[in-house]
Amino acid sequence: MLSDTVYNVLSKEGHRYILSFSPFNSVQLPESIILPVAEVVIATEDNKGFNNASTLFQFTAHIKDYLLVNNVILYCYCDNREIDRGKRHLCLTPQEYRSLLFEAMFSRTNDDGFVIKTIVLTDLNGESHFIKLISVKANEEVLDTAFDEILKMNK
Amino acid sequence: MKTNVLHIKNNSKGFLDFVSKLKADKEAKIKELLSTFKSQDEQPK
Repeated sequence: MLSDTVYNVLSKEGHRYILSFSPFNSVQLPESIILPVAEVVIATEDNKGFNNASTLFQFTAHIKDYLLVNNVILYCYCDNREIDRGKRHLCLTPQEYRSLLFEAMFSRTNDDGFVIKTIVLTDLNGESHFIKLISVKANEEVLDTAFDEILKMNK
Repeated sequence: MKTNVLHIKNNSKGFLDFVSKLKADKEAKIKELLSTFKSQDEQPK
């Protein structure tokens, strides 16, 4: 049984973050997904976003530790709150930028022990919703199953 | 690290309800976490 886990993270610049892990219960999961799903949420009090690499690494370390201790699929919905994304990334929506950041958190550590999958859901209004699924590499088949289950909605 | 991307574009009611629920739940969760900051600040030091 998964329980809520919360970490307080302070960046070098003094920005406060909360990193939260909790059981995912937004929708009923199909039986084919045999692992529990936990939701990871990163909240910051001032929407300044991930402002340096050391902050990213703090998040990544906590997320990896959580995945190594708990045999779960981690789910993250990249929200659309404004985020400081620099001139180069202003063309991206906050959701898309968060999705890229999330991936960067893992790719920068060059760790082959984890799998991250991105699902982009585009709705009637043209808004794209970015979802990340992450787990240890040994659970890749379960992630593929989750992919397939979501793909079934595309009919 | 292995990555994959899946794109789905769909306008069925079930799909729209699904993404709306995910979005609303995330917003509610962030609101809940942000209230933690407030309560931490209000604690006597």
